[in-house]
Amino acid sequence: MSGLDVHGIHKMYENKPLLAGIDLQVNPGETICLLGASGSGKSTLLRIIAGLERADAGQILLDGQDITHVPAHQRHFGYMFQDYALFPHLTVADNIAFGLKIQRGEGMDIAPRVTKLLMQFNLVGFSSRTVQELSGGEQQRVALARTLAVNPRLLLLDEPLAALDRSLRKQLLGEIRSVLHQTGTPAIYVTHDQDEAYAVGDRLLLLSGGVILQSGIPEEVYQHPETKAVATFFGLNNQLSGRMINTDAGLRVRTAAGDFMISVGSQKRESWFEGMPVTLILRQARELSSSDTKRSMNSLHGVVSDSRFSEDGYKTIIHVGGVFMTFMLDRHILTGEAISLIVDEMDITILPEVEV
Amino acid sequence: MAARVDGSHPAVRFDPPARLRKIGKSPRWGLLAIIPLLFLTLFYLLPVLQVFKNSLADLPFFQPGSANIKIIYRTVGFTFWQATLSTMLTLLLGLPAAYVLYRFEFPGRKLLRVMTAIPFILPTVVVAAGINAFIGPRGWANQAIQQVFSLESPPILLVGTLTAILIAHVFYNLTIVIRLVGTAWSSLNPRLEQSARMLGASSRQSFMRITLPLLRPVIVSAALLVFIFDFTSFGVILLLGGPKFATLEVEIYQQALAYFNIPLASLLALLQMLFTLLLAITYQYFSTRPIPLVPAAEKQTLRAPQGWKQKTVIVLTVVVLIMLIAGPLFSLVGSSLIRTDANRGQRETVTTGWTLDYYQALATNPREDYFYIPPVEAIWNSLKFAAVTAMASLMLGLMMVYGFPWRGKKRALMEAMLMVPLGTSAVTLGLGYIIFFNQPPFTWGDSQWLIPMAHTLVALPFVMRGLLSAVAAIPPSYRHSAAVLGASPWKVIWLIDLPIIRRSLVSSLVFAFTISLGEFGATTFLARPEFPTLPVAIFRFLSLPGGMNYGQAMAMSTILMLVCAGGIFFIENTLFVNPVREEK
Repeated sequence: MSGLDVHGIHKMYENKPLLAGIDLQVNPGETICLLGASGSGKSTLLRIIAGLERADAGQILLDGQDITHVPAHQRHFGYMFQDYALFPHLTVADNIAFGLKIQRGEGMDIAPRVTKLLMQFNLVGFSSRTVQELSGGEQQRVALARTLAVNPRLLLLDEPLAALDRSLRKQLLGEIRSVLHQTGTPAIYVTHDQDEAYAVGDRLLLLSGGVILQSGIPEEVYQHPETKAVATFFGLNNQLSGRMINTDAGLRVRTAAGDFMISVGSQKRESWFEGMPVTLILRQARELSSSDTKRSMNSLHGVVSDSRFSEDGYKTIIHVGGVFMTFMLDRHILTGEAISLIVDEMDITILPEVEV
Repeated sequence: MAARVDGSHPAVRFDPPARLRKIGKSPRWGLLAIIPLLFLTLFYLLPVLQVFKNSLADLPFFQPGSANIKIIYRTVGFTFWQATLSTMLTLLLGLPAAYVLYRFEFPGRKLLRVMTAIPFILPTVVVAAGINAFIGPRGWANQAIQQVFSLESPPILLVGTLTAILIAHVFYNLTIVIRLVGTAWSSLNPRLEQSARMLGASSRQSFMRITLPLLRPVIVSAALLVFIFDFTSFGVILLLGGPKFATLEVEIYQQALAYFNIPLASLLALLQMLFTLLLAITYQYFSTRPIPLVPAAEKQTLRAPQGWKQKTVIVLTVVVLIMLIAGPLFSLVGSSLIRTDANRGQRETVTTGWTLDYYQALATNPREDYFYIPPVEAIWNSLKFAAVTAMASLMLGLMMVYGFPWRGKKRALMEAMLMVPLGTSAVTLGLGYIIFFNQPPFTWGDSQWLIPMAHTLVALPFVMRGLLSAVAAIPPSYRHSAAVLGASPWKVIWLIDLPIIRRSLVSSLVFAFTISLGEFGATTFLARPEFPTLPVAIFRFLSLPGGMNYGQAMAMSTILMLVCAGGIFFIENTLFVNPVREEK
């Protein structure tokens, strides 16, 4: 089996389980994104994979070889820290050359490789500067160049953009994305930011409560969150509690905001039963226009409590059925006005209320 | 991002306050400076110039190849040699100790850190007495070995050897290395080393290529500071080394007081001053150079030891530290409370065991000797001189803070003026006093009040720095507000400045008081037999034979140790609490 295989990682932190049986795979050339709130243990997992920390139990295989007990410096992985950890007493070029010197010996001619990296990362004029003279974005590029210089077998990136401001983050995100695809190095990218995760991850893994809650390609995880926790993590906060009232032709759910009708595939129908408490996740909604026939199903009738401009439309908060929900609408509506919205069946996700 | 110089003792904090605000602006304030200027001229400048004059006037007296020249060569050589050895030993133990105490979390770590700082604050005679009580011929180490192996005579004969001096110096200055290097080490971002590991460096390689280069500046400046202390060491060498081991300081003392060779003593003093000044400038250069550290919270860098290798290193270091630090301290207290030895002239068998005799004897005059001064008088003298020193240095310090121009280009000049008395050793000062004040127009040579004047000069630079940074930290807006509300400049000081720097004032008083209590170098020149101070009495009693004298020396040292440690403890817990918050 090629690629990275992580099995049953357990780790206690201050007498509480931080990681409680983590399994994950990274295929050759694949970038996986490890998502999780701060304190979820995602950095610890990364450090365990790197060999910087020891797991209480579990196994790490690389290309079928057990490397659980191989010390960090013999794993030939690349690790990029959130604060880059550039060596402050070395120049930019010496930082990039550090791993080459260590791994290939002082005598080897490493200058061409360093020059190539300096060019690739737009750092040509910086080679003899000390790292303290660099801006945040430049430091980030030096860190990336230093990590890639030794052709690591696996790239571990721990929130590499967290220390940068927003516009710079967008730009460097693109750079990281293209570098990952160019080199084809398998990578684990840790972040708490879903936009970053969508941009670089071939696959997302959501870590919470010490386990991987859900994994899959970005669209799938976003469209079909399997639990309320996953939905909440992705910012799907328009949640309505309700009760199943009919499962014959599609699922019919009654909530405080009205009845909703969702058709599901026949194979899934057995898992639902009448009277079952469920949660509906409403991803988006649009205003009821005159062309829509007046429907009582899958619609929301509420009062606008706030509407403000943003680049994707008007972010509108609506008070409906005792809860507040946020939708992007295409016009500004005054606070206090009544509003009717319609929700497409495709934009509704239904989840059992009781978490397993 | 410069390293924080976190000395426990104000003496380590040579770095000047980062920014000095305008203090006082009306030209009349300059009048305040007259008194301290007169004081400095009379009690520092003139005596020290007298030393220079003496040394230069008699230059023809120093023929090449003469005995005097030989003494100079030998003394300078030995001073550098013992300071180099002491510094290397201090680093050898201090670096692992810094690593263990500032990178690992283990029970007793904090207590150990405090313990290693204690010796530094002790007066030099107490250190000498403590080392004597531990490894001296009557010391606890010898007694224990004699007991176990039933030996007739003590097996460890270190007092009077270079080894004893080196042990005392390591004991005394270890905390400088531990504190300075440890603080830097604990703020070293652990991810730097981890990065190196990820790039393929073994733990040895990442230490050699990352950690060590980053710590190098702070190691160099700690080593220089230790070297300065070892270079200028006086009491420890006089009490533990004996006349064979003469450093510049000891030789000045011997030439002046034993052989009355004032020209040679003066020349040695001049050399001593030049070397110290040079070392101090070098230190200043290194200690103000920025160290490129990416700071990390200490919590991040402390971790529990893993594996038997780390645990062994920790256990070994802790054992050595406890032996070296706690050994002398406990031996000292023990020797003052437990009788193990016959009194002088005592024939009957000695009853060993707990006793308070040595403390009680301090107030008695056993043989009704007219010339005998009971130690309690020395204690009284010391307290009297310390009180005068504390008041004088506080008053002069305040006058200097408000009277001198501490801004612009003059600031560098002012700071240099503070550095020079620091570079002058107490022994040189004492020498200057006995020369200058034994000739017209100021024939005060017999006065006991020269002692607190010398002590004030020793304490003044430290008091000044403390007060200056406290006053500079007061935002000018406070003074402006008070002035706008109608307060005169004097009222502003009285109502705004003084209440705000109150703690600093108290700390300065206490610090000057402790310095005076422990001062030995200048006092040996100035204290007449009729008015000994506590350290001088300890020195005398330590060199007298018999268990009673030895016990009394230990009792006095214990008292001195407790008072000084108490004083510094008090300062440590108040000095940095200033009601004015530092603004960014």
